[in-house]
Amino acid sequence: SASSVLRDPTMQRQLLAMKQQQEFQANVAKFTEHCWDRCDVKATAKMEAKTSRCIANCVERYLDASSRLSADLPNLLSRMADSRQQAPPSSAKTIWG
Amino acid sequence: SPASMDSLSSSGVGDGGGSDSDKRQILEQLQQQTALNLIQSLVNTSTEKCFEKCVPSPGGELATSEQKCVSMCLDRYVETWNIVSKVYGSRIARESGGGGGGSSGISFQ
Repeated sequence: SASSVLRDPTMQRQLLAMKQQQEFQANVAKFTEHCWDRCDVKATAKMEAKTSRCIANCVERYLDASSRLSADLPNLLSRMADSRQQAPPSSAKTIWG
Repeated sequence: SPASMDSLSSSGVGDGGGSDSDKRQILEQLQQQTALNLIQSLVNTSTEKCFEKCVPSPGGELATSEQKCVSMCLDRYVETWNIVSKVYGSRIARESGGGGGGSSGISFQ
């Protein structure tokens, strides 16, 4: 049956590997589009050295920013929880009253 | 021809499911579909970017210079893709301890 094919551990391992590869390629596509614009890549016969450096930097800095954000996320989430528990300031009633 | 649900119930050997060749076939088809989706995405995005760059004022036909521009543009887009793939792949390899989790990037020649 189809469901028992999917339960096969070897199959699951290979499906997971394929999923990871797909995510990798999706990210490559996203970075390529973004960095093409950011680095103003020209439609010339040869790519300038500064442009290829820019593309490499673009990818590395994006990943750095992403790591930074992920590291800060627990802090951000806890601050969001705090603000939900606070009562609204009474001055709000005056303004909107 | 695509594996039908009927062929999936063919006699497997002891593993309680489809035969190994069925599984291989499924994986191959998934792999092919993924590759096709990737090419599709590359074509769509590069067409948009290169049209923007090379054909600022669409006229009655594509000038020779515009055609050359589009051709070079596509080469540069693929080159950009390959740089990104290499840098991203190296970064992942570095961060996962240098050895594991192979980033099997596809690069275009």
